[in-house]
Amino acid sequence: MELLDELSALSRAVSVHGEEGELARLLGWRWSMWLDEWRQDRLGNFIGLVRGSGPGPRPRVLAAAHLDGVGLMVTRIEEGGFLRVTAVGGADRRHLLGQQVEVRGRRRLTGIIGAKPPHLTTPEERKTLPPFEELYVDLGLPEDEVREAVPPGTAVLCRQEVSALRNGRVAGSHLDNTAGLAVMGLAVRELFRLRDAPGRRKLAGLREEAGFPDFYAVGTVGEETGRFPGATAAAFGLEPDIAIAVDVTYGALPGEDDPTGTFALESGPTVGIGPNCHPGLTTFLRETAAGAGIALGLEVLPGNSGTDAWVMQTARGGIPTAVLSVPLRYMHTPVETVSLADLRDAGRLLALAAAGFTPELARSVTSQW
Amino acid sequence: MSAKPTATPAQDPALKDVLAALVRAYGPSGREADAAAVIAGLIGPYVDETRADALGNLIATRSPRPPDPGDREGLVDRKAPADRKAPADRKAPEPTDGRGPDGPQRIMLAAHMDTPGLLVTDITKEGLLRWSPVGTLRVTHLPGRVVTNRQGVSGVIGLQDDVEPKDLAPGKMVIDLGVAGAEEARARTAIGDFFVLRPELADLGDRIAGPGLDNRAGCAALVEVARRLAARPDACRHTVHFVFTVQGAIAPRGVRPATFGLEPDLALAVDVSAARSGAASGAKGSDIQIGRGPVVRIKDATYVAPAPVRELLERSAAEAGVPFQLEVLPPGADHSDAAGAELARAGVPAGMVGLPARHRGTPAEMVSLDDVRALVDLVSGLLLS
Repeated sequence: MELLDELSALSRAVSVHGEEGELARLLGWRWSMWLDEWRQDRLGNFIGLVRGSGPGPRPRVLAAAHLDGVGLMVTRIEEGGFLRVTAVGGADRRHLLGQQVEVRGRRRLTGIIGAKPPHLTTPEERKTLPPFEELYVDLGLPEDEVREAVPPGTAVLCRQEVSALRNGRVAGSHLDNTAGLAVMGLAVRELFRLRDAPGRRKLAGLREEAGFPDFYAVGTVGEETGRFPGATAAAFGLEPDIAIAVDVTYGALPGEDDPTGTFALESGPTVGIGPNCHPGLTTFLRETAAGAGIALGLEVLPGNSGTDAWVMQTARGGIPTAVLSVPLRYMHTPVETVSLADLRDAGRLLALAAAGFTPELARSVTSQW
Repeated sequence: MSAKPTATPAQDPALKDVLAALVRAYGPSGREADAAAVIAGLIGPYVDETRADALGNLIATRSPRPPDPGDREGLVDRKAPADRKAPADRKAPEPTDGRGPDGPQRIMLAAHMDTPGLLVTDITKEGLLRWSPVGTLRVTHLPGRVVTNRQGVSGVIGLQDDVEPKDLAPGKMVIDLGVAGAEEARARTAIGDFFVLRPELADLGDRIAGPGLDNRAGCAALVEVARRLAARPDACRHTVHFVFTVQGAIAPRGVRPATFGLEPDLALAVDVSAARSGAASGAKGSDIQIGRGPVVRIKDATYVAPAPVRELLERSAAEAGVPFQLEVLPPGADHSDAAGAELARAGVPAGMVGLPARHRGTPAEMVSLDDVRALVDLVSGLLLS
């Protein structure tokens, strides 16, 4: 599989919460040959299963990467056919001015978010950003046509094609969280191969007789809203033994290179440490990474991790959770940047950890608080 | 759906009577029992069973009659889209208890029944009550208002001298019971007592105004829906749970355990949506107006309507011939019971239909009876075959 193609195809299908269906079905098409089954649940989560081997009941591993991206939504149509918008999730006003946007109404339209020419702004205006209420989308269409094609609630997305930079780095819109989805996709393929190839299992250092857990690859809805409805429902419904949120973290950039809060591209994936991260499970991930020669950063998450792990941890009677991330620069802009090498390492680590999650580990790892 | 219910003039007084009875019922967030009793009395004749759950949610249930073998199309389309192209043997079975996606469903209609209140936090030595707001009360509208507690003890909201309007805050206001001192005050109230705005309804013709119409108007709409179903006993094939939830004015709290217990296939919250208040107009949010029909909420603070639920509501409105307004709110804005219901168990498809109301959070929340009737048309049209 070409990882760049995967990121590019998935990113084109991303929309805001409420409209994750297209991406969920795309995952089904792209991954179906490695999955034993897949479906969408009642909230629209994508749920794929790589069935394990060995006697039941087998341990269940849930990996969750969110489907939804940040974007805008039309609140109403102004006289003249201009669209007023509001944010869904943490869309950033700073990069909206002067952007071309995709308007997903009854038909797909291209719009632009304009800005006053600098010649007409006051010195004061040049120092501030207009609030959301002052932004509008210009479709260049007459008002009656706009009213016909764009009802309130229409999603508006800043879409930038994912393209290759040098050095195995790629940039584009909505890599948060198609990067996480692609990591999960790599793990699905690797688990499929490990399960059906004893030689490969041995090479990976897995015990022959240990059996193989069921692996649920879940694409969740609504993560960017901060309420995490998809992860809440999936963790309840699938009742996993462990749950791993696969997401992105802050890539280091000039001026923001604090090693405790940002992570250099190509320095490997990161694992979260903090109250939202089960210590036994986190240690298991670190040991697995060390055993496979994968560099792994430590991301300190002192409270709500801001990921699906936050609600999966408290589903049912409590589920041990971990947060696995890849560094990403320029988060929530249309030029999010990741390194393919970090994605490959994260995918391999997720697969090895899932494959190595034996029933004995399910008992011992998750009892270490 | 052939059964477009029509409102006849003879129903109008009844709807106003129901609203008046509901506005009078005492029920701030956390103390909803009296309101629940009033609602149980109103809806009782139209349902098979009413009960309260452990948190105080009132659950009124109407079962289908006669029992249906299950040939009805599912309301929310959960079938695989035609273009999914997954081999049948690869599709995991839907979690099911035998009803299946096409059979009669369990539908929950939820309206929060609590209102904002004033919680007594301290009694000064002069006998004045310090208080803290529970739920959303606009402080600008409070000084000089009459409030009462459950026992009918009245007081007025007094404002500290020399407070500029821009500095208004609950801490600068007291509840003055007109008593001589702390001892007399303690005979009438206590720390932890809840006062509410004096329940008075202004009858403005088609429109009415009063405190707590958010969400007693929604409760009245559910009572009307129940009456419509009872008037055509064989027409609804679904089990319908009318749930009057607690603590909805604070956050979608009461609805979660109720949804957990009922395991519905679809949950619809009926609540109030902020409408433009006449003269005031700004560029913020949606352009919701009173008198233009019910609201279908697409997005609020954190909730976004799932596409199938949104389609169901828009289709039902069209089939019932009801005009409706689409509502999109900015982050940090409002919430409804839909956001809580959705998170129960392995997820419940949830939607919100709203009644536009002007002057929310004031003692004169205003709704249109035409909007209430149109909302009832929409919801009962969805339930009746």
